[in-house]
Amino acid sequence: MQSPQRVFGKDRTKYLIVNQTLQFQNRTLYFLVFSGALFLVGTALGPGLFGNVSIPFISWQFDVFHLLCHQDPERSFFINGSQMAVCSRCLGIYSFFLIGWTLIPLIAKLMNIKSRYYFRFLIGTIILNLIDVLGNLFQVWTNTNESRLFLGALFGLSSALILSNEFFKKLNTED
Amino acid sequence: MKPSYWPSVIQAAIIVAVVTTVVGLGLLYYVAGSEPSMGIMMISGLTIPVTCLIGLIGGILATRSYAKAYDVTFPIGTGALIGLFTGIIAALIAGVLGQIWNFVDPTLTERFAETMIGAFEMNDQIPDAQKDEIIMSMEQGFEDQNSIGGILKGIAINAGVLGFVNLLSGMIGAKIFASEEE
Repeated sequence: MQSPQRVFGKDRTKYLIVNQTLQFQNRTLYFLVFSGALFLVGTALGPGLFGNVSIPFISWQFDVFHLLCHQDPERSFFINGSQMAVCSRCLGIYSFFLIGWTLIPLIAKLMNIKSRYYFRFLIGTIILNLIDVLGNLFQVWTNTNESRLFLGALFGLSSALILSNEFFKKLNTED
Repeated sequence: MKPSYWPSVIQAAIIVAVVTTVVGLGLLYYVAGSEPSMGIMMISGLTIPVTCLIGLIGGILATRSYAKAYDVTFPIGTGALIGLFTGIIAALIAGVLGQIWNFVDPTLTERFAETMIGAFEMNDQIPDAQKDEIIMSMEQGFEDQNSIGGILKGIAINAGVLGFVNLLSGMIGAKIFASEEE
């Protein structure tokens, strides 16, 4: 561990450089979640990812998500002419959870955000998604696959970020 | 010694299993009771988007229940474990409930399969040869789903997926309801 350095700026002000190291904890759980999320995203893309035009309800990718997603073709993207195994909102959730999960070491290194802000972000994204769902349900507006993907992505990202401090902690050698 | 989390796990697993089974059965009845049409393959009329992700609330429910009932804090590793067990047990219970319903209404899945195949047969955008091949694989798929091996495979897949997503929600639940921080 390095000790903090004292340096002088142009105005002769004394600055203290704080050495911050990133502590990586719960490693097994982190890599387990990463592998699982990677598998889920690959599966969510559906049989079209492998070039198979398959029928919903009988491909294994659809089996995997049938308890988690309505898998409505009108609310899903298609890949290689085949419907993805999850709807656009769920695709946003899973893919951006994975992206967020991959980025949390970097975010923890670059930023110092307290857990309560991540918690507010998570609650905010849940409320946004609920408003969007209800607004569409009561025909106040019509959402699109893209808007659902975007809002799902925010929720997925916030779900990953709220856990960042549990895996990567900044340790200050001097405060 | 910390109190056992199993009562919270079982309680949350039952809630998830019952909710997902009821939603699943509602979908099966809706499709089975409809006339075959291309529209039936687009089931948006029934599936309210809120049902999306309902299967992953188990981890949150179990960790919340455990933390509040015993006023304890625990690390996210324990939350992950609670969520994982909740998801696996929910899948097992949902599998058992599904089989019980098969005794109550043995022709339900058959009617569902018939409607889906009938709807697909009406699709005139696919060449006949390819359509026959796909219909055969659909019939085979529905048969497999009803065999012992297919049922066990379905339960195993559900246990893996529900286990994993509830592991995630269990970690989030532990962070929100049982964290020692702040």
